[in-house]
Amino acid sequence: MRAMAVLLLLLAGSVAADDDRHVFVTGVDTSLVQTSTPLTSWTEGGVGKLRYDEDHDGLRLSRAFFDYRGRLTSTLNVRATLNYNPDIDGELDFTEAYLEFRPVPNSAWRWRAKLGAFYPQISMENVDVAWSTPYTLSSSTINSWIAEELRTIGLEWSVQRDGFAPGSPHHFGAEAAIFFANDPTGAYVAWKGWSVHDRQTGLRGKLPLAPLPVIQAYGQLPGHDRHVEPFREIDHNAGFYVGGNYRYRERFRINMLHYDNHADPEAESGGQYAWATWFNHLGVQFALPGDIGLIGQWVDGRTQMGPDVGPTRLIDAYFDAWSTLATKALGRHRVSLRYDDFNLGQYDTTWFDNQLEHGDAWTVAWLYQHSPALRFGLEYVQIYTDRLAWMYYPDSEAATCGPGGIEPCDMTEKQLQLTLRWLFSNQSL
Amino acid sequence: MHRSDRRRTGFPFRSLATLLLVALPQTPALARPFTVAVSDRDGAPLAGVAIYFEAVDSAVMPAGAAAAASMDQVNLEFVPRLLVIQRGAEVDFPNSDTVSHHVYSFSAPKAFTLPLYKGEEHSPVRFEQPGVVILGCNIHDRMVGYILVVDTPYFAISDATGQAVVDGLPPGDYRLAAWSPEFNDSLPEMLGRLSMAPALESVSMRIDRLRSAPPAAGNSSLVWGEY
Repeated sequence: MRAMAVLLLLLAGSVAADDDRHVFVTGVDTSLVQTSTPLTSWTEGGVGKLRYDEDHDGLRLSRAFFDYRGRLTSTLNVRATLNYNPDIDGELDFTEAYLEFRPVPNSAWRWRAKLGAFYPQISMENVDVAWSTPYTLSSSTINSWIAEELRTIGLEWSVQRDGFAPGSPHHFGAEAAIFFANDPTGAYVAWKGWSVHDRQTGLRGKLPLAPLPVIQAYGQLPGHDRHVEPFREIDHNAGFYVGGNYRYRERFRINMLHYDNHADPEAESGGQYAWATWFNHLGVQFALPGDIGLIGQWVDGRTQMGPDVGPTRLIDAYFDAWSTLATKALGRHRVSLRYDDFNLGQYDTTWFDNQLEHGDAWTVAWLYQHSPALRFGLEYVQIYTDRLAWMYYPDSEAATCGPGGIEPCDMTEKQLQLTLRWLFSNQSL
Repeated sequence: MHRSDRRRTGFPFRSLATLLLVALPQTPALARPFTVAVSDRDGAPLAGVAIYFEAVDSAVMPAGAAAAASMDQVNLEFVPRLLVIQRGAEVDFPNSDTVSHHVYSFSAPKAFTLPLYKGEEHSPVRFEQPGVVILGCNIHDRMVGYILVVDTPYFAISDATGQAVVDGLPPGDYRLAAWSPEFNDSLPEMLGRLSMAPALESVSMRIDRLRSAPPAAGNSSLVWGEY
């Protein structure tokens, strides 16, 4: 059924059009994956950090998507991305769907508004079609997390000023948004931790949880669902973010954002809980001599949920991560190297619910654009994680940690992925 | 600030000291190409600078329609980045890209909006007022282009070696001015007053307001994989 839908979309996307009032781009990412990890992937309800594991690798469909851009009027556009993920119950869902208002500027101030569901302006990597990255196959830890459980479902207003005069190399911008939903955001990074992958959660998506003690019948949150639904509205509070950016020609760019979902940490609805989550993000993009691009991102935040228990909440975790990516295009080829460092900590003292984690990841990728419609990508990811909570799952083979966490609970997981991306469009690509 | 003083006091703004006359072969032919060698204040050649000659006595100016011109859109850039036209000229925006554009300007000499939708016809735009018209695209925010509208048919843009060649300049008294998108404002730099004699073939000009050659129109895809 879903395969049929994807096939129909492929056909729709390949019918050429004389105008570009409606632009369809359909894409299929087919992968050959080899993993080396004793852990079961988080996508299978395990604690493994990779999208695939040794029981779920080999020839895989990574994703199929249908990206639509429509021009309603000369200043009003509609954009939507329908995405199919075969894993986690096979999810055919929108990852973004929004209206964009782009009035014709009548001064050097250029403002735009978005209404609907879309990614906030955080990732500096995911600038390709359907929020994929042109540098690697997997996104960095920060952007993998954004893909998992962050989306603006609301209204964003942004303004850009491109220099104070003709030819000025300085460009400034700012954005602000109010949004609803996104109340459980924070649950997944706290309970699953950071990871590196290429999977984007759909707007009605569910993310599986490992058998955490805290959500068992004997735990403190027995009513919690075995999944997190990151885009649920629970407390009816509006969240907000504000951001700013500066660009110097194409050589340098800096983005900043403060995000707060303003959730009520005691609100619950249908087994889903609101997590009060706030963070700051800083991203920089810099072109080095020799046309080498450098991208750096850093995020630092905190998430709380559950009743007030003395100085903190039942769960009160802090998180931070940074990544650095170097990239170089060589004709149709592009090589990129990325290093990720990530941490989680906690202020609460809740028993059997430990969020402590630290780790790092190396990603090296080679992408070859054979033609506008066909891209080959080869990527190696190596992720090291030390996560105390793995001692709760003796069956997980997180292995080396003993009871009480005397030994480190750590693991290095490896993944080699070859991905073919086919694109179809009713326009020339 | 001596620069703003110069603007206030009107023309000529500067002594003819910066105007170096070179090469004076005796050939009386009219309407031969005249070369302006444009350099920065250190003497390095400047590319992409528009220069134009305005007759001090406007009666010298030829009558007739201004030549039509074209400002194309290629690979999400305006081509040329800087177009110089005579006041009254019509400019076509052919759009050689496979995607639509939506050209606009909020500049005082010509505020307009022109959708260049794929598969749809559109008319040229006439520019009646002299000055700098900055172009943007409301679909592709990074696109920027410039049209310099001048009150003379005698203009040129310096090439990679800093040479700007003007054809058909009749003898007479002219004000020579320059403008570049790198000037950071819309006011031209007045370079001096020039008595055009038939024997004169070229002059060298130093632009005060630019230190170095403007960067080539940025092709960011060399570095960034933007969609």
